[in-house]
Amino acid sequence: MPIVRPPEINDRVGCLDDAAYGGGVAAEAFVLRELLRNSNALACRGGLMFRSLGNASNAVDEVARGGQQRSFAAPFWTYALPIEQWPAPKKSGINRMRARVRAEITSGRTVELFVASRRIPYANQPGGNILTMVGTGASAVYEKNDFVVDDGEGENLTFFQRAVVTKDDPLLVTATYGGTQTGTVTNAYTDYFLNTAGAAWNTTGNQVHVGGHYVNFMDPLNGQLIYGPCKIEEVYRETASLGRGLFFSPPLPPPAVLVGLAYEIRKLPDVRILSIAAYGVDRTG
Amino acid sequence: MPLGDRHYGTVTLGYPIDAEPRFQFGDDYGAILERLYFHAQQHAVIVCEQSYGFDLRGRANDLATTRRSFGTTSYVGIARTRRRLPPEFNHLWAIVSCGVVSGHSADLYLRLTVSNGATDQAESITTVQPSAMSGYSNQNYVTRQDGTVGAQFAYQPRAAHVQARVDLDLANVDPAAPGLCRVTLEGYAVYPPSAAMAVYPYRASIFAGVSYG
Repeated sequence: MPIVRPPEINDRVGCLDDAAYGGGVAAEAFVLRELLRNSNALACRGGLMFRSLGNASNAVDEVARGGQQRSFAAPFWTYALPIEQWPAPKKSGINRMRARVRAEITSGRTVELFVASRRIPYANQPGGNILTMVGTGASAVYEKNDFVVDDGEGENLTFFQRAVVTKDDPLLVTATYGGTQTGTVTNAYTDYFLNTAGAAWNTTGNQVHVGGHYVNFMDPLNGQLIYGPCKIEEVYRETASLGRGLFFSPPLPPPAVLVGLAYEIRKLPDVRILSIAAYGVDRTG
Repeated sequence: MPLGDRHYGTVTLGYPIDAEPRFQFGDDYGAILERLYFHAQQHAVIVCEQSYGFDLRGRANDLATTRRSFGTTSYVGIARTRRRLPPEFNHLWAIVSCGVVSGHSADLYLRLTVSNGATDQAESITTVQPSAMSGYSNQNYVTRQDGTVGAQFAYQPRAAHVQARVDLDLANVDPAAPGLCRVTLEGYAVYPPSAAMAVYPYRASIFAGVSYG
């Protein structure tokens, strides 16, 4: 009666004891099952898929240089990282991804992070894969364990961000940026509007777009939102008689008319993504 | 890991299993071992990740606050690492995300080099035409309603964001001893034929994997 030697289990030692399967040594169903389990244990492990690090020393110099991947979350989806369809290695069969994001977001403001994968591409958002991050004003960790990724080999990831805006967002600080925080549109193009009543937004130094702001256009009678929110892109110095105007995005659809509408300019949340680390979630089933 | 038109389907997987008449479950063992071998073999690994600081506010002068830039007509290092490459890997590739400052199209040259000794053993070069990535800063040549070009604007980025890839076949690297390798990624951009253009790398990743054919 040959001796059946117990195989080592991958869970414990990370390898197979091939001496257990030597020539002339009988195998039994238990051994075969252990071998299968070892195989499964290897196959179901999620590994590192993506990692991004900013300069996170938090020194003033780093902040001033934008070394922390600084941005303003626009009120619509924009790139959170300057990458698109970035390859991420992954084992076949892993269909969930765990991501931990360390970010510094304006206190009380909400920013959403959308991870587009082959399974949930950008065109399908917001069907899922959105991590909601509520800012604390300091570095904080945000985590989501069930980003849906394709169960095939490898993934392609793109990271988008969007600010959640509310009527309670702080209005433009005119002492800093000049101009007015609310008013009436007197002239407009598809991506540009003027308030000729002397709204002198700064054209150097602290400019509206440098600080990160958005604009809403509303019915002056009842305050109903007609168009927006739109991200302020540029302060433009018109002729002396017209004053200064603001470019915004996205541009208006052709039928929209802004002249005569009320506008309000509010602050966008600051976002500094310090790091992102994403791992495949171990398969358990 | 997607490898373009490279397929695993034609690969003979696994070590040969001797079919002994008295070897119970021989086919099953063979299948499992093949699977393990295939598993270890097929999956790409991240060899190196390099990221540089950047802003994403969509403004031209953000380019000036990136943490790294160079404008030359010869190769400048973007990422370098020392890594022990498993012998079953025969393919390296890198992907780079960067800004290229040029009012026109420019050629971006990338070179991926691996060496496991004193001598470089293989290299590969790719050339791409930058094109703007939608949603990112590319507000150059804004034309106003009155037809004037936006020369009055404070910001004239004239930059394109590009994401480019370079592949390297390790066939010329001694498969018996890839060992501890030095992997280097370099690049530069020119406006043809020879004008140096500034390159602002944001991020680079280098992967190792297996390819056949």
